[in-house]
Amino acid sequence: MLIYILKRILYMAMVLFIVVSITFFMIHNVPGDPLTSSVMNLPDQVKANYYARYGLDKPLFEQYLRFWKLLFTEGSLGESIKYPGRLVEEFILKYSGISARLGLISVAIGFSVGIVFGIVAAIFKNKWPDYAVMLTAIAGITIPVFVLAAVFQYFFTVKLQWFPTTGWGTVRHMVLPIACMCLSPIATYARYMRSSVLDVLGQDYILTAESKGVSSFNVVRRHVFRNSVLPAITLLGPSVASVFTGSFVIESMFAIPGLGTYFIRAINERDFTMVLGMNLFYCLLYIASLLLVDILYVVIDPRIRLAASKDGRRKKAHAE
Amino acid sequence: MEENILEVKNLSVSFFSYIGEVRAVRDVSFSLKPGETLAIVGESGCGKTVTVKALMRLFGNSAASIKEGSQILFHGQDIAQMKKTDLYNVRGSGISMIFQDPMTSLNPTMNVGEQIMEGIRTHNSKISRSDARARAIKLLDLVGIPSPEERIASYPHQLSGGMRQRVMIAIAIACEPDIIIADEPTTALDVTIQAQVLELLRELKDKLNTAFILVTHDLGIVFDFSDRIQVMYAGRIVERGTKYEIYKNPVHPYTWALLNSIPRRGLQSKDELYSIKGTPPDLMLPLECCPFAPRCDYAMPICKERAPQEIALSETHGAACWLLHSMAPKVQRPVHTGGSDDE
Repeated sequence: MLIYILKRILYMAMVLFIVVSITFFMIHNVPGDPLTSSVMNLPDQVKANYYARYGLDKPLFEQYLRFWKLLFTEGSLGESIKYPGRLVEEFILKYSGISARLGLISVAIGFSVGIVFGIVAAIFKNKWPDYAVMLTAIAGITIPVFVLAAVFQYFFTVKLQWFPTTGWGTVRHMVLPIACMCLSPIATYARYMRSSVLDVLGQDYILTAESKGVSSFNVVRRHVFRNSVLPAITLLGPSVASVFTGSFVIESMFAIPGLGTYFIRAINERDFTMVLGMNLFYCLLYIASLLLVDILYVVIDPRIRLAASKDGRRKKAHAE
Repeated sequence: MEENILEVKNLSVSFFSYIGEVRAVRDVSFSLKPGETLAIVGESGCGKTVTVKALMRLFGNSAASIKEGSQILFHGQDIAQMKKTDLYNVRGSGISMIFQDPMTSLNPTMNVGEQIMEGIRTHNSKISRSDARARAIKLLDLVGIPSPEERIASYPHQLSGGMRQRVMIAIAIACEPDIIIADEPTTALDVTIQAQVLELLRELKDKLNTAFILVTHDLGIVFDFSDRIQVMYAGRIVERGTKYEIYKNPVHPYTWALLNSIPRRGLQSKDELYSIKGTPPDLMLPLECCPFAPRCDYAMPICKERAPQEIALSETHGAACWLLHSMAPKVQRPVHTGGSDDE
């Protein structure tokens, strides 16, 4: 198990390296640089000084090496080109907290509510709870998040005045953005869970459990849930990522000072170091959530646990 | 005469689908005494499994329902009309079931100890966890699983098919039910394992003194195991009797055909094993005639017009066939050449 995780972390490092490298060369090959994006008309000498300061006059490969050297020797992602004196890693740490809080709460709500909805829909298949859940699910998948955000803002802030329109700080500020962000995960998880629960309900071991005299509620709790939750767990990794991309829209619509807004701005301003740093950060989050999902798999399904530990045992025997 | 623990009266079960009603079990009546073993035999798709599942109302999420007028009296209480909570009490502790396929009948994400203990703890809320565990270990030992203290923590995928069926049996006997239903308990197993599992069931039957209902399409295993035999065809019981009556003096052509299709010792390689031509009828049809008539070698005009009523030949022996009618021609049971009859 430990060996398995170590191996996975090694793979993660490799993936990160590749992604960051590709991003580096791509962002530098996009036409324009931090100066052309602003309309300042500077003398050539000033421009040359500016490039020299950030090493942008050096060959591309040298800049690439410089980036890794800085990361490994000083543990730093460098200084923002657009906002001098602002370190990329400090910037990320400062604003990612807000995005993370939004994202994690909405994934948590989406996952748990979606799973409960899915189970209810499957148990009451072709009855009204099923239709209600499926209607919500279709709405959640088809309505774009920006439409939802606008509608919510109109009803809950302009008409009813329950919540503030935009801004950040109190719990009341969080309600609407989270409501917008978790509807789509609820829909996705509910649909996956419904089909997987239906599948499990048709399995022979459910009959076995019922033949023991276990009540319907306990059959669902002890036998159905664990066997049907795996497909939903698989989605957890990608949905963490999609929540982050989704938050770009939500953050700008609700004027939340999260990382998403700054990411878009950094790309538009060709802030090379900032883009690279944030990309590294998102990539790390994504891969880490995939690893987390794999570990969850092992916890939930004993058959997967055995495969991993057998591997470890064979290695140990080999070493002896 | 001992009191019957189970009395099934006019049981009919139908599946409702988009294309119509499938009448899987049609007006079946039978009874069971304590400690007795009843075998229900017949081809695939003639309602054996549905009949026994109906005894526990165990239809999972299929669209089956027991029809009006059916009675399943267990200790005098009607299971067909029972409330859910009472039904939960009967399942497992009154009647329990061993399923056909041990590979799919155990929950893959729960260890076998938990699965055995679940039934014990459901029916005995006062029992402590450690006592239930001790009982589960005892049960595993009883069904012949070596080193049960270690095996109790195993997951189903770590056990062989035979072992899993032993676990299934342990689950079924955990609460000492009055009736154990074994639904083709050996069909999914290797021949050598089949013999072991049957041997185990026979031992348990003697030890526990429970009534057994054995569902099978293999007449070869029935004789050793059962006291009485019921032959089913197209959702009806066509012949019933003690095992001696069925083996020595069968009267229904379908029973003859089933008995003739058992492989016998001394069958030469050039001899072909007898098989019944055709397939059982579509259970969506009303079947006003004798359902076996199209495949029967002795069918008379009447067989295709009206369904025969059951005629009692003795207190225990009965069959539904027009050949038993006083006006019917006398027909001898065909004995096939090329093999000696074991029984």
